[in-house]
Amino acid sequence: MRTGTRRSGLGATALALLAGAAGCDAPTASLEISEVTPSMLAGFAQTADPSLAVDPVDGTLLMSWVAESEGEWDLYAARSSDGGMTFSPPVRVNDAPGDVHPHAEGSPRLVAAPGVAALFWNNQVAAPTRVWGATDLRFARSTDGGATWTPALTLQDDTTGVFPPGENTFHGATWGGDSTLVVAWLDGRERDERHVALAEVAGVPRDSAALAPDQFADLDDPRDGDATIFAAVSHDLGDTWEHTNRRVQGGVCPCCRVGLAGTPSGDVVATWRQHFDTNIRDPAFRSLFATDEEPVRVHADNWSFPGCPHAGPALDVDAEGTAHVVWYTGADGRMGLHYARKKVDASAFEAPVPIAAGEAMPVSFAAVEGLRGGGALVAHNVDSTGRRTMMVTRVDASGAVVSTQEVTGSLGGTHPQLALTGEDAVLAWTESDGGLQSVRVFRISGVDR
Amino acid sequence: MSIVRRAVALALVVGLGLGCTAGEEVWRPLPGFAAPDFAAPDLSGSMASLSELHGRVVLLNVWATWCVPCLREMPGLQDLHEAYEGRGLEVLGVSVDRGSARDRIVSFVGEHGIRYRVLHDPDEDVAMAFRTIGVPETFLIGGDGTIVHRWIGEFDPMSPEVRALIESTLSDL
Repeated sequence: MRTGTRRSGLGATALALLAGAAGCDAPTASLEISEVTPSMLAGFAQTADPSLAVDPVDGTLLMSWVAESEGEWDLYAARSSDGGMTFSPPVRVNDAPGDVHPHAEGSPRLVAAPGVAALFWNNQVAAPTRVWGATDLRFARSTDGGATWTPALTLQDDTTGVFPPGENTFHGATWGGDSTLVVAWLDGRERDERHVALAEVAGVPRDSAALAPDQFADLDDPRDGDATIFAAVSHDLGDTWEHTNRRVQGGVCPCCRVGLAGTPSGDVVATWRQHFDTNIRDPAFRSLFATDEEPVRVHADNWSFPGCPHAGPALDVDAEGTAHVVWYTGADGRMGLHYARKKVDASAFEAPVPIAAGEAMPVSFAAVEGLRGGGALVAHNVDSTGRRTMMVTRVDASGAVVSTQEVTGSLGGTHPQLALTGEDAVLAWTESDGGLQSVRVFRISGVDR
Repeated sequence: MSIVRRAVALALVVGLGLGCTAGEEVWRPLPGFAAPDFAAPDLSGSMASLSELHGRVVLLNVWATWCVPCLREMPGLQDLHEAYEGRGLEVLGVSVDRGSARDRIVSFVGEHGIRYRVLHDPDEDVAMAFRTIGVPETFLIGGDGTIVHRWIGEFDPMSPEVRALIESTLSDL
């Protein structure tokens, strides 16, 4: 049942914006938001890093999360046939116990395709010569609705080279609309090659340098740590994978997640935080494999930051092919979260709209879902005063913010996830209290699809 | 332009251009504003707070083990600690590594020879209180609890400019 006082058109836009001018947040509370955190999560010592997906055939909701019991982290999944009100018993996805590493910005990605549920996640790999450790990109799929999962595969293809295990994380994943599954991640192999080249210039033999490439980093070069996006592609919904990973993009900010989405035309598009010159770290967008094309800059914030934002842009593509992106920038005068969209035939993004922006906005995280009528639903973990609380903002078809409301009792949450279930939505995130993490799940009714 | 569109434009100017601050000064993590108090455990489990350091100059460095620029500036922070600890400077690292990362932080600090005090902020309460926009960020806080300087991103702790600023702040004690 749709509830609330939905407004439409520019009149509502004006009202919301005028109200926002008086009190910072557009106050329209037109959505009914209620907690539906499943009791099964309480059976674990900790839970974190939820991911949501909706079966494109029957609308069933799938949810994954990582959970700790007796010091060991595993990946679990469950399904809900009533939009998140109840879930099936949890099923462990990783076949090798403990083969999961909890990490909010690099958390598991759950993808639903016809007849297949797919999960992509990171573990931690022993690599004593690595300064920052190593991660494999792992994959498993289910063809029986999540009741059973295949043994995990490693998808990066550089596992047998001379280098120690490397970094393969901060991934996005999507279904391509036919039989294609794609995962794209931030890969450290080209960084290793750069470091070995520096070592060789210094007279160190390649084979020797390759044993510990991190030791030859050029700490004076701000681009030294840049990552490269690589992708793995399956043409049979994960039964097999292309033998060779595809190189997508270099010069990428090395700790901000990649966003991926499939389009109605069968393309796969991506957004990420590109490291432009002079430490500028702005969001970029491109058809994933159009590697001969320059990425489109979602917006030239010109945010120069000699550090790690650790916050990648969020992406969704709606049924009309419009791409919706939400990102954080720390640029002077624009600090905060912004939304922009690019219609299917447009060459550039429309002017961005502030979602939660102000003079002292801390780094914040968002999820976005395109709505059927052309608008978007955004969940974000900071309000426009900089307070960390979960917010739900709705953007209408004209691209204007029409409502923003707080999820009651949600202080301290991070990395929201969204999924549309019919005319409603499900929102999940991770909270942390004294270092102990827990997943919370809410249902949002009255989402205008 | 229609009346409604004019209203939208006006609202944007009022609501966004002025930052919703009419009549009051919004707290910002910038020089001249009071540093927010916080409490977080150090790596031995003892709680530490900013208020208990009142009267000392604090160099608060927000960092993470996975952050390359953070690692680059740590030797300089250690040098500052050694050079100015006896004169009233407290170098305080705050790791925002998530979850149960204490053991990893302890190893990291040991491997890199860090001997200044390091706190663990797994819920990012300190980072949120200071409205950080990433890591690293560093705040110089005077003996009266006022923010003296904010470095966004990597900086060179042992540069002449930074040392001069610290010495100037210490001279106010």
